Amino acid sequence: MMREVLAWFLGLPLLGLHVVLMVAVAPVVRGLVDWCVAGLAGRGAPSPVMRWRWVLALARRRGLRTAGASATGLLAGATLAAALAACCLVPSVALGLPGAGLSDLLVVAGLLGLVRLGLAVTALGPGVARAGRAAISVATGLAMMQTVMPVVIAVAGLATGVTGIDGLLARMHDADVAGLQTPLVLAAVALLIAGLDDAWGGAEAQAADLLANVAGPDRAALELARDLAVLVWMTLAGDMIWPGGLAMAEGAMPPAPTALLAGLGAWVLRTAVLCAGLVAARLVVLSLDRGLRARLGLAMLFGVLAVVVLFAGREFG
Amino acid sequence: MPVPAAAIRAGWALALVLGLAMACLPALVYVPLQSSGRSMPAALLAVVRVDALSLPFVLVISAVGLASGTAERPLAPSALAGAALAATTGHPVLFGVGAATVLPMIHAGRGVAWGVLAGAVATALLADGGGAAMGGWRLAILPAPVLLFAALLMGLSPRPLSGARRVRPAGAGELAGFVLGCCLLVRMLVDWPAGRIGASWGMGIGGIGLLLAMAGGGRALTARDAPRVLAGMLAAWGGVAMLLVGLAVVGRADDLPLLALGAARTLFLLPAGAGMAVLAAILVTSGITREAGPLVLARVGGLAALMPRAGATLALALAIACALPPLAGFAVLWLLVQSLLALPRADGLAGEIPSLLALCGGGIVSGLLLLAGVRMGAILLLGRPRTPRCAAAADLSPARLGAALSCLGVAGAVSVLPGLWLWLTRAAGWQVAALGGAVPLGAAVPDGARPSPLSLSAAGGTGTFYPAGIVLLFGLCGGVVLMLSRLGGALPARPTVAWTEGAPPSPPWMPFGDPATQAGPGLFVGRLDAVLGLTRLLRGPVRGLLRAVRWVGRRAAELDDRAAALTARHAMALVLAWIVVASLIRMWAG
Repeated sequence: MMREVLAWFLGLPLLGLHVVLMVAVAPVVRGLVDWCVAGLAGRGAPSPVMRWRWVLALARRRGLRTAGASATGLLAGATLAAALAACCLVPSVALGLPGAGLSDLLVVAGLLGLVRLGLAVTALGPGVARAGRAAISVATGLAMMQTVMPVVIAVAGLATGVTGIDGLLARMHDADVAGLQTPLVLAAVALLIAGLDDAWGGAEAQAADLLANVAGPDRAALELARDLAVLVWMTLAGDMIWPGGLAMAEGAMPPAPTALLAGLGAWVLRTAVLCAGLVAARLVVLSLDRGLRARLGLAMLFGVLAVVVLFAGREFG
Repeated sequence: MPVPAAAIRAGWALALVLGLAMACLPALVYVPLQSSGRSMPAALLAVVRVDALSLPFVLVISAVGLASGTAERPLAPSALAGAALAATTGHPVLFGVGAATVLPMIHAGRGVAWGVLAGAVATALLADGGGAAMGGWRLAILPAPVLLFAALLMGLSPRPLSGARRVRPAGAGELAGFVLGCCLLVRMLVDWPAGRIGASWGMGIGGIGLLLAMAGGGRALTARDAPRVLAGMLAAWGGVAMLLVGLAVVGRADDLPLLALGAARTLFLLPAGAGMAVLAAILVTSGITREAGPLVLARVGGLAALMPRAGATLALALAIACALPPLAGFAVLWLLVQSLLALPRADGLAGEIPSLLALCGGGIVSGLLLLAGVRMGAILLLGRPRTPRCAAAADLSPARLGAALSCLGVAGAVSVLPGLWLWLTRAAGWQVAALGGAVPLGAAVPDGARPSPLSLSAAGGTGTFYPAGIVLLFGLCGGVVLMLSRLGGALPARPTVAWTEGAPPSPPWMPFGDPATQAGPGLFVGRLDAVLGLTRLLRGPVRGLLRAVRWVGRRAAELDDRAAALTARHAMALVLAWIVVASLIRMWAG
C-alpha cells in the first residue's frame, strides 16, 4: 500500500511533465504540418514555431465578444479543459502514471468529441450563417463518426480483453502480440480517420469560418484546444500502433530515466511518422464536403477489416 | 372533490421516503407476509406489496410525481399514480390491469386498443401458468404481446421522421409511461415467466429495440418543436431500454449472470439518469413556453442571454440526455457497449456479426441523440431572438425552476455517483440475474456482482469507468485554465456585433434579422442529408422498391378478389371437398 502511494506521488511530476510536453508540442505539430503542406505545394510557409507565437499574442490581446454570446468565455475554457483532461488520460512516454486507471477508449474519444462540440457551439453562439454552417458541419461529422468508435473499441476489447487504454497498452507491451498487432494497427488507423478533423482538405478554411467571431484569449484557448486534440488523437493512435515504445513502470515504481528517454524518442518518432501521414492525406485526398462521407466509409472499412483480420488470425494463424 | 396540490406532493414525498427506506433497509421488503396470509388484508398486502424488483421504478415514479406537480397537463398526476400502483404490484393480473389503465391516460388513438389487447394477452399467458405449467408455446409467444404493450406505453414507433400528427409532445405522463414500460419488460420477460425465454428471443428483442431507438433518434433530430425533440429522445432511450432487456434475457437464457446483471443495472440507471434529465428538460421547456411562446425551432432563439438560469438548466439537462461524457447518459451507453462486448458468441467471424451490428447501431443512436441535443440547445439558446414574444421573455424565478433543478440534481448525482443508485437497487439487479435475492440479502452473491460506490464495471470485466474521477479531472483542468487566465492578466472582453461578412443591415421590416443570414434548425438535417445522400436514395431505389411493393399488393388484392369470387360461386363443392379430404386424413392418421 505504502509503495503504491509512494509510486503515485513519484508519478505526479512525470504526469505534469507529460502534460507540459504535450501542450508545448501541440501547436508546433500543427505548425509543422502546415509548413510541410505549404512547402510541398510550392508556397512559402511560416516557421512551425510561429503558431505558438500567434496563440500567445492572441492570449495577450483584448477579446471581442458578440453581444448575447457572453457564455463564449466559459465555453472556450471548458473546451480547453476537456482537451487537457483527454491529454492527461493518453500516455505519451510512459505507462502507469497516476490517473491511468481512469483512461478508457470510449471516455477519451468522448472527451475529444467534447472539444469538437465546444468549437461548434462557440461558433453557433452569434447565430450568423457562415460560422453556423461550419459549426453544423463539424457537429454532423462528430455525430457520424460516433458509429465507428464502438467498432474500434470492440476490436480492442476482443483482441486484448480490456478497453482501458493503460491496460490495453500494457497487455500489448507485455504479451506475445504477433496475431494482434495487425488488427490493432487497423483499428488505430480507423480511430485516426474518424477522429482527426484536420487531415482533410478545406479543414483550415472551415476552422477559419468556425472561429471568425471569436477573438482574444477565447480564440487562443480554442486554437490551443484544437491543436491538443490533434496531438492526443495522434498519440493515442501511435500508442496502439507501436506500444513497445512506451516506458513501463518497474513494479510499483516509475520507469527508469533511460527508459523514459527511450520512450520520449519513440513518441517523437511516432508523432513524426503520423505527421507525415497527415501531410500526405492533406496533399493527396479529398475535399471536406466529400470527405465526410468518404471518411466515414474509410474509418468503418478499417474497423471492420480489423475485426476480420483478428478472426482470420485466430482461425488460420 | 379536488385534492390540493400540496397533499398530492406530500403523498409522493412519503412514497419516495418509504421507497428509500426500503432500499436502504432491505429487510423491510422481505417481511414474511405469507405466514399470516389467512386474513384478507394480509393477503392483499402480499399481492400488492413493493418487492425488490419494483423498487427502482417506484422510486423514479415517486420522484417524477413529486417534481411534476407544476406540469401543464392535468392528467399527469393520475397517470403517474396509476403507473406507480401498477409498478408496485407483484402480481401479473393486477399489473396488467394497472398498466392497461395508464395507457389511455398518456396516449390516444388506435394504438390504445392494440396495447390493451396485447396487455390482456400477455397477462393471460402469464396468469394461468404462473407455476411450472408455463412452458412451451406460452413462452414462445409471450414476448410478442409484451413488446407491443411496452412499445405503446413508451411511445415507441418505427417512423424515423417526426410529424406534428404522429408524435405527441413529451410531458411528465410520457416519462411515467417510459418507466412503466421498462418495468413491464423486466417483469413480464425476465421475472414472471416460469421458464426461461430463449436466447434467440433475447437477440430479437434487442434488435427490435435498437431499430426503435434509431427511429426515435431520427424523430428527435427532425422534430419541429422542443417538446417533440424531447419525445423523440425519450423514445430513443426507450429503444435502448428494450435492447438492454434483450441482453438480460440472453444473459439468463445462456446462464451468464454477470451479463444479465450488467444489463439490469444499466436498465435501472437509465430512468434515474437520462429519464430524470429528460424530465428536467420537459419542466424547463414548459416554463420557457409560458414566457417565450411555443418553442417552434424555426422561430425561437437567443434564450441563453434572455433567460440565463433557465437556459443553463436546459443545457445541462440536454447534456445528460444526449449522452455527453462523463454524465449519466454516457454511462448508460458505456455500459451498453461493454454488455454487447460480453455477449456470448459462436466461434468465428460469423458469430461476431450480430454484436458488431448492434455496436454500430448503438453508435448511430448516440450520434443521433448528440445531434438532436445540439440542434435543440443551439437553436433555442444561441443566436438571436426571432419573435417579439421571444425577445421580451424574462427569466424564470428560482422558485419556478426548483422542480427542474431537483430533477437535474438527481440526474447529476446519479451521473457522478452511479454506484450509490446501483447500491440502492442492488437487490433488483441480483433478482434479474438470478443471483439470489434471498434473506439475508446478498448472502449468496459473489463479490464481483456487488456494486462499487465510485465506479461502473463492465459486464465482461473488460473495463471500469470512474465518472467521479473524470469529473474531478475535468474540474482540475478547468481550474488550471482559470488560474492561468487570471495569472496572464487577460483583459475583459469588449462586446461587439457579429461579423456578417459585409452584408448590408437587415431592412426595417425584418427586426430580427434576415433569416437567410442565420443558422436555423433545418441546416442540421439538411447537412446530414447532403452528406449521406438519404433523399437521393429515397428518390431512387427506395422509391422503386415501394412502387414494386405496391404493384405486388395490387396483384395480390386482385388474386384475393378472384379467390373470394370462386369460393362464393363453388362454396358447396368446396365444403364437400374439404369434408372428403378431412375424412381421408383422419382415416390415414388413425
